[in-house]
Amino acid sequence: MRKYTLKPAALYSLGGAMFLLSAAATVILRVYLVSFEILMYSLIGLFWGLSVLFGLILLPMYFRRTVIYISPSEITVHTGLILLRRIHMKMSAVQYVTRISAPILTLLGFNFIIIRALGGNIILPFLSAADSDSIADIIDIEINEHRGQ
Amino acid sequence: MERVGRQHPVRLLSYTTRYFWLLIIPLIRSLYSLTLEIDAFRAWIKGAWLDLLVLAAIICFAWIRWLSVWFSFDSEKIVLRRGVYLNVEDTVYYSQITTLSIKQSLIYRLLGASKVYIATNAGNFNSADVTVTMTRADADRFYEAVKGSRRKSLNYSVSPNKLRLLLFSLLFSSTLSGVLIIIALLLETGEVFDREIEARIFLDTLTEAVNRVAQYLPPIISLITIVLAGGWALSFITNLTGFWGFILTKCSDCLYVKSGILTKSRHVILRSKINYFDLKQSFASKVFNLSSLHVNCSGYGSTGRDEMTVILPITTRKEINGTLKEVFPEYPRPKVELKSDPRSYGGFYFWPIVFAILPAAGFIAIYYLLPSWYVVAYPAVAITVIPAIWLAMCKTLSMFITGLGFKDGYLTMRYSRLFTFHTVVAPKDRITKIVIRQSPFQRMGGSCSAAVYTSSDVKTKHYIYGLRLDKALAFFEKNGFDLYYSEKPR
Repeated sequence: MRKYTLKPAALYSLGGAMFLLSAAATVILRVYLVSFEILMYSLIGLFWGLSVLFGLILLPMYFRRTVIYISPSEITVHTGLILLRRIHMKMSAVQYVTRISAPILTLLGFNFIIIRALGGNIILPFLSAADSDSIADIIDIEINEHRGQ
Repeated sequence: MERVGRQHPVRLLSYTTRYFWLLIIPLIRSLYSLTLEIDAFRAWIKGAWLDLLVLAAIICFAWIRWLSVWFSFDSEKIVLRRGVYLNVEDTVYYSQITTLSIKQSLIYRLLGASKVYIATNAGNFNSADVTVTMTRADADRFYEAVKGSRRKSLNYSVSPNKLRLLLFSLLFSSTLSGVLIIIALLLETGEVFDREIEARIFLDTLTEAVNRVAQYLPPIISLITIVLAGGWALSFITNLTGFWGFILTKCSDCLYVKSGILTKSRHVILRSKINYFDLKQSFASKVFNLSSLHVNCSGYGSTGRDEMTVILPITTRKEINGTLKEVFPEYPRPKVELKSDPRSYGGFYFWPIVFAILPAAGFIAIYYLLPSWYVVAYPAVAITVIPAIWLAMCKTLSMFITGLGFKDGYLTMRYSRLFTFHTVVAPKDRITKIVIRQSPFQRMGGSCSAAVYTSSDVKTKHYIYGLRLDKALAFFEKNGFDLYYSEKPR
């Protein structure tokens, strides 16, 4: 059984992007909504509140809680924020795998694998490029072995 | 021997667009109102030449599309060729067909046509991979060809007692399903006719009916009465005509299902491709110990709006058990070994409470904000709260039956979804995914919910609520689904 966790670089970049977005929103709101002070402060508060909630609390919690276990016979994922989930899929049920990555973002951990079975999928998010390759290889070997049987 | 043919000409109608009907109806109406004079005809041509031209183009396009579709079949495969410029050819081998369905509506029977649906475990989700409209003779030949490719060993045949079917249809037809059929019918009609016409016809009919009943009852009560009675009557007619003459025949590798008087259907289902069977019960049928037997197999029950996955309509438990023993001898008798935890019983009432609170909150708002609407709101709230109470009753019963069992490589799942009780038995190799979920409240009480996904055309989830977490994880691990429960979530 091999154990994988999500790449922290993706968490830092998501958090950073949120704070940048909030800063940009603050500037824009202060320019265009200066005559509606209450609305302006409410919106600025909302942007920063959401950034803090997601960037500092929810996303780190999600990244910490998500663990992927891959063995020759099954794929198991422990994940969740408010609702904790333990997801299990037999390797024999896997039909095919979709890998999603982008040229530069791949270095920041924006690599996703969607494992597709007849009647259900599992998404493995924010993997490092090496982990993504390793998982895809293991599944590929196992699918071929199952087909050969 | 190979048979090559074109589709039945009735298929031309479905190749025309809905504008065809919008054009042809006023054209025929104006032609009908003409006097028998050549000048009147000339004037009509002068006014309607553009409509006639568009009509001719639509017919011509449909005719070319119809001409471009060919099919051929022999003893082992069917080939469908289509396309005007780009030729597409589908070849389906009979050994790969999970479900073959042949349907004849009343109109199709009068015209000598049959609609053939061929489904495999590949291709489109929740619809047949190949759909062809054949002449009745071709459809019969094709049915025999597919039947000929299956093993010939008749084991068992069952047909529900007609009197019992009539009685059960009377007792268990539901208003909700009738209303759903009306909505589906309206949506389907709307695909062909203009939405405005469709809405006007429906509202005019409803208003007329309400006016007639309103002589005896208050208008709001008459409207509710008509919707309830109409929905129930339609559900009753659909149940009865759909299942009249129902025959299930089991051979060593196939199930043959025939049913219907208005729309006649024939199905050939490959037994090895059945994903699971499901014993469905409503609250009333649960009390009377009756149920209907359904199967999930790619293509079965996905060929039309009133199509169901049933292989034995509502009947007694004894008859169902006999059929299960004959049709699914390798499946164990459904037995639950892990039941829902008494500490999680409160959670079963979550949705009934939500459904009761929402209309009550709406009523309070209307009472204070729009007091003049009080007279209308009062019966409306009473009616909307009834389903919540009914759901609470179903959930109360559900608390005692929900659970999981595993025997001889088959997983049994007993649960309720809204007003329907399910007993599902699925082979282990058809379990696609298992999700053990814990809400914050469940975490405090140490319970969880298990969502079991089974192989299917569409995402099919069986949701078992209120299990003890440690017992559920141990149960799955014992039966070969390791969820790494010793590894606690961080």
